[in-house]
Amino acid sequence: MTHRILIVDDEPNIVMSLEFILEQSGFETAVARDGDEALQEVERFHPDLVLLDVMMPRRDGYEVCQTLRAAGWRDLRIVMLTAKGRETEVAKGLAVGADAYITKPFSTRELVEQVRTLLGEAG
Amino acid sequence: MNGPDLRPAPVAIAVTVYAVGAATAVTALLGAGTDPVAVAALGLLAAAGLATGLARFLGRRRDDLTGVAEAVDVVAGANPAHRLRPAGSGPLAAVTAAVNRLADEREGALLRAEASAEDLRREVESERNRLAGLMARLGVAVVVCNADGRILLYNDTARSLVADPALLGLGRTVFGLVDRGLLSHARRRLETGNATYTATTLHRGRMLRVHVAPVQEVAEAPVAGLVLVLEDLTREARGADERRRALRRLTEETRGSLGSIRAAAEALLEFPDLGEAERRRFLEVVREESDRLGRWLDAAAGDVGPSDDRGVDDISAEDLTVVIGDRLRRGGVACHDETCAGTGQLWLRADGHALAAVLAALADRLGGAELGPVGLGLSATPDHVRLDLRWTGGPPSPGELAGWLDEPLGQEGATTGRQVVERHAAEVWAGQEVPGTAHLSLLLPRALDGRGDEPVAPPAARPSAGPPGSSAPAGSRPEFYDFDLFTPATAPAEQSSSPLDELTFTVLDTETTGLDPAGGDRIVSLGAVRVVNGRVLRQETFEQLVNPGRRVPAVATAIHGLTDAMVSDAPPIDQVLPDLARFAEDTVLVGHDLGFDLRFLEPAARSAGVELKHPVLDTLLLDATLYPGQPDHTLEAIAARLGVSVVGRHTALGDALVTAEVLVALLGPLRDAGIRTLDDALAASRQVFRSRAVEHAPEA
Repeated sequence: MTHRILIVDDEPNIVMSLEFILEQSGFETAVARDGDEALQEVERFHPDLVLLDVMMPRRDGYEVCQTLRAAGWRDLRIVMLTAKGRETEVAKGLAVGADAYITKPFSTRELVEQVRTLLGEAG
Repeated sequence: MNGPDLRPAPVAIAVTVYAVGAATAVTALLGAGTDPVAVAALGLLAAAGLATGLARFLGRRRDDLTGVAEAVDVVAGANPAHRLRPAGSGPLAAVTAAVNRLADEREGALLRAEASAEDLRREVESERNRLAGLMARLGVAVVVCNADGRILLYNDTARSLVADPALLGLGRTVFGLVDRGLLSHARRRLETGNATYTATTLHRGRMLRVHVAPVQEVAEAPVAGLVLVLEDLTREARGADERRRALRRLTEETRGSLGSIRAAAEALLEFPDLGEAERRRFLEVVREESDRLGRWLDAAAGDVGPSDDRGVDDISAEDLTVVIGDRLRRGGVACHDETCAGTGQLWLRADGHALAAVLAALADRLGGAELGPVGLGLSATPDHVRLDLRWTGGPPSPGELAGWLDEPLGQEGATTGRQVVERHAAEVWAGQEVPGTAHLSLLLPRALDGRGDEPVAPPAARPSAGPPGSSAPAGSRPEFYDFDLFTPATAPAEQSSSPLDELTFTVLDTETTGLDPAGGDRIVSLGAVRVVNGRVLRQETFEQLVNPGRRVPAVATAIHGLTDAMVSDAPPIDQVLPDLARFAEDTVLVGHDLGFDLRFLEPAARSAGVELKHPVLDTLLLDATLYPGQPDHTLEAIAARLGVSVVGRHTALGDALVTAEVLVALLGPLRDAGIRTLDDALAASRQVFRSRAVEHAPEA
């Protein structure tokens, strides 16, 4: 079965590459451009994993993550994807319920491996 | 300056008492101790006893001997230089000569005692002046307070740092300036062996670093006072904030662009069989993001100056929880400690008092006391320390929390909670990890290097900002210290039974548009000065023009020189009164014919909602109490009689200063007249007020 991944980022240039690479790697993708859209897309698209940018207008990634967990999305894998590289930010991301935290710039190959591991796909 | 009055009271008392019974007098004298003056007096008394005894024995020489006894009274009491006239020959001549020899010796002893006391006093005075002179020239702000927190010394730099005379003044508490919790915490640390204590605190939107050292007579002795060295870090902290923000923006934007470039490049490399259109799109991304990166770097080069991390000191996690717990409890939050064992020895790079202020503000927003019991927990990972407030209920929404963090701590323009959090590279969020229990969490990075429990040394003093040797000319140095304030404070409740010369007075005067407040006359200016421990503190004054809300008649302008144009931009009285009330807090109000000023001030205070509940004394009534025979109790007349020089009359502050000098000059005569306490002075004033009211009442 094909795993579904929701990409949440307000930066089209990274979304384009992520969408392309993940689809080429065999995932089904959807895109949300801010926090509100992300919450709607989760309800509609039922992704297995969310790649969630932290810095977005209106609702930031921490808040989206917290809201999703509070709404009962326990099994949904959440990977925080961010330009915020501070130690405390990483720790906060994990504390509000993220499964992994990846700092930009990252290797797309490692990202795909990380995603596969989290989804329990064989490497 | 007057020398101390060395004529001991027991002598006069003993000589008077002798007329009743010599035995009682001797007992009284022995009770007075064995100082040379008392011994001389005892000898004198013995001589007097001999003289009177002889009189009783011989009977017929009674008149002569009575004369001798009176002369002895004069020597012992009023004038030690008085001598008996030699009287013929025989026993009376011998007694006279003996009394005179004794009087010579006593006078010599008195003079020697007075001289050595004067030397001692001068020595102490010059040591104090040297110390105060040293403090005055320091480039750092110094404030010394006693164990109760009353200020007994401050220097010029402190005065320029804290311009408000209602906050920094001799005899005032230091808590208007430095948080009470910080100082009591500092004191606990100092009493448990730390040599000094350093913390950062917020004062009216400014960031101050406070170094606290104890005043102790010897090491291990109880802490008699605290020396506070204050540094204003506001500008440095603001600069550091801006640099930190710029750097952060730069890193985040750079990472974002690099992320896009790298992902696009990897797409190109990993998937070589891309169509031409897709290939072009990824290459466009690379070019676009590279351009953006370049622009960010250019913009950032101007923003990021040299780093300066002086805004934050190290603090132990234990201190931090104590400081935060204290602060929350003072805000009414029922806070208890839930700290994990073993975390107390951790060190953080944190400004505990600023963080405590942030958490207290957030707890207040969450409901303060209504939160019920709040657990304050501390836990640690190798890289972080996490502080949690936990309570039963729900967490605030992220939006609410973000809004609260953007509010200034204290007055407008002050540092916001977010700025404090950013400065610590900390993170704040709220949530619900256990059902039914909300938490507010603060995540802080740990100090990079582990450190022992060593006291933090204060930094070396900076050189004075002024040119070297630019001290004020001798004699004009303002009164910035009063070491007598090391003794505990007079609580306002104890004012009434305290000696007058130990009270703190606010002497004030007003200028008005006329004499009739009921007819619409109003205050146009207010002046006040503090008198502490019998000294007029000329640098601790209050002076304010007041817009009377009406025209100033020419006849009033002729007296005080104030015109409509001069007071039109001044604040109205109800804006001035709260400041005056703060300036006069916990003091006795004094004025000359104060009833006149109060007739203007009291209605204004009522409408401004300010309580003027100070005890009041009137120099006019005090003068009339002491010198009822004098025809004139005007300020000029009293000043002239008491030798007080009059400068700057008919300005509110000028008159307040003259009145203050008159008050100080009256304190000695009041004491001599048996009016020692505030209660005595109030009672005497009431009495003279009543009798004057009767005298001046129209005849029936």
